[in-house]
Amino acid sequence: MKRLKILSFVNHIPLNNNIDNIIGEAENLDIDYICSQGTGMDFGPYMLGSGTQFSVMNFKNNVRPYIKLALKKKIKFIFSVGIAGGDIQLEECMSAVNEIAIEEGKKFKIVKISGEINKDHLKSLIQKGHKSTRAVKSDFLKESIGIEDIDSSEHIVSQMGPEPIVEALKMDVDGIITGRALDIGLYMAPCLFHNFDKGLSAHLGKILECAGLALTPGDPSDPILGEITKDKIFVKSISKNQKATIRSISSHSMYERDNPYKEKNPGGYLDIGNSKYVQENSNTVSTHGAKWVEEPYTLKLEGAKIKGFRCISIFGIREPNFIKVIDNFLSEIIEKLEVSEQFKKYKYDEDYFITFDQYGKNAVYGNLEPHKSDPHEIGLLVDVIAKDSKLAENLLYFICMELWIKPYENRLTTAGNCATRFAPPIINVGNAFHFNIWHLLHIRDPLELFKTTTVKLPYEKN
Amino acid sequence: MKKIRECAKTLRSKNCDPFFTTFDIFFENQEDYNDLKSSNIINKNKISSLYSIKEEDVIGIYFLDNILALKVTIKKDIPSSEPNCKDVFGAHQHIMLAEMEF
Repeated sequence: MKRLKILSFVNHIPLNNNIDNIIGEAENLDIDYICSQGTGMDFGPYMLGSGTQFSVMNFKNNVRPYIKLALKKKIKFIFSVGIAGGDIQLEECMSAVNEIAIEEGKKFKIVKISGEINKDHLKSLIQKGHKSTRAVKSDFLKESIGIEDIDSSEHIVSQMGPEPIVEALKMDVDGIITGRALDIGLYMAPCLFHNFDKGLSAHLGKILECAGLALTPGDPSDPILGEITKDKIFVKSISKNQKATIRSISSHSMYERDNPYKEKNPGGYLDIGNSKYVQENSNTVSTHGAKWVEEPYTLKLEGAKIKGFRCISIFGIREPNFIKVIDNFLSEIIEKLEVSEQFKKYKYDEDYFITFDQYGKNAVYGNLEPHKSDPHEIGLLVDVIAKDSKLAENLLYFICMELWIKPYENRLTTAGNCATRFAPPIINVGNAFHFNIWHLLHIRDPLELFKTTTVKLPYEKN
Repeated sequence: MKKIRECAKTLRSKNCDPFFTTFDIFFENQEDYNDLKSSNIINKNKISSLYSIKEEDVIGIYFLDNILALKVTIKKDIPSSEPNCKDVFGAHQHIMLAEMEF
């Protein structure tokens, strides 16, 4: 194979309004693969921990036209799905694809690759001495993964590299659907399967992974078209409303990355320090020069642990005399709470956490906020996380009563210190999580942790 | 003297995994870019005091001459995976940089 063309879209973004035209254009472009990312930890640990995701209906609407295109033109598709990409989310998305098969009257075969890590398997690897190191030197992460961390994670996933997908491409199927996966691996896999250069494959993945966000104007709900040859990659827009320019493509290459030249990946890093970009025509950019540098193979593991149960309340404060004293008033609530009969047995920072955010004043930057003068209005968000829901609710009730009725200096109002947005004022949000596993696992076999299953759609009824 | 916000075409902040914030600044014209680069105001000491972090937590400062861009990456004091993080995507941390004068 001398050239390979990949159409890329993002599957968790709402469907593009112009989709019929896009698909119409794409039908005549001799596309070899359709790749689409739908996993990421940008949204924090909540969805991983709670086994939830954004609207599956949105996912279904979004992938339907691309799956129809793929089946019609016999193009293999490779999707990572489910945001956090655990098994619960993967199965929900698989059900949506199954519904598409039924509704469209199509039969097709999928390789499903789980991104969720079996806890017992991981424990045995750790016990056998497989090294794990935190991916980031941070006080919020332990240096390496202990057995207790595996037990206390609700779910653990891993960003699979391209290798399990390359294996799946050897099978006679119509598409591949994965759980949590390395975004660029979805694009590297078909390139590597057809023996293209690894550095160029990774750079192509890096440009295509957010679809139309790499174009100008950047919009990830638009797809993007990429092509790889022996020594170059080409990128262009499909929609007439966007263009690929040297600036848009080269600047996207450094989006969300700490270093604009090097990117760590499983088994090596991508070095684009010597990449050159050429404007081939008004809507096509080519680049060459990316290098892949081999390193020992590691897989990034992500685990979410429950921090506690979260309740919130929202208030509006407009009275200038109250705004003048609000900082002290809020500190005094915490002081009173800590010595109160009902709460003194609990420890702040261990059993519970309370955060006051004063929107309109310094909620975004806290002490770093350069503007120090009092605003005319404050939106007060009270965020309580406690070790169980009863304690969280009770703490927040105490705080609400203080905010409503306690006196302060120069008060004109009798009670009703603030405007209450919701009644009842306490909103139960649910569990709050944090990443307790964000580690690199040193492993020899890139396939070992990922369970692969062949699935025929529609599912056969029992 | 001019402010970065007056010269930048794009000035964005974004998470680079939950533990880092990365800032990308793209300039409209060569002169502004050269002026900022030669002013030497973008250094580890200045960035660390601007964001109240340790100097060693300024992970990288990169000037990209070919696309008139500057990238700065810092470690977050509160990672966006922690419950009291105020900006989950790190998408609104650019103001202090935007207001810098050179």
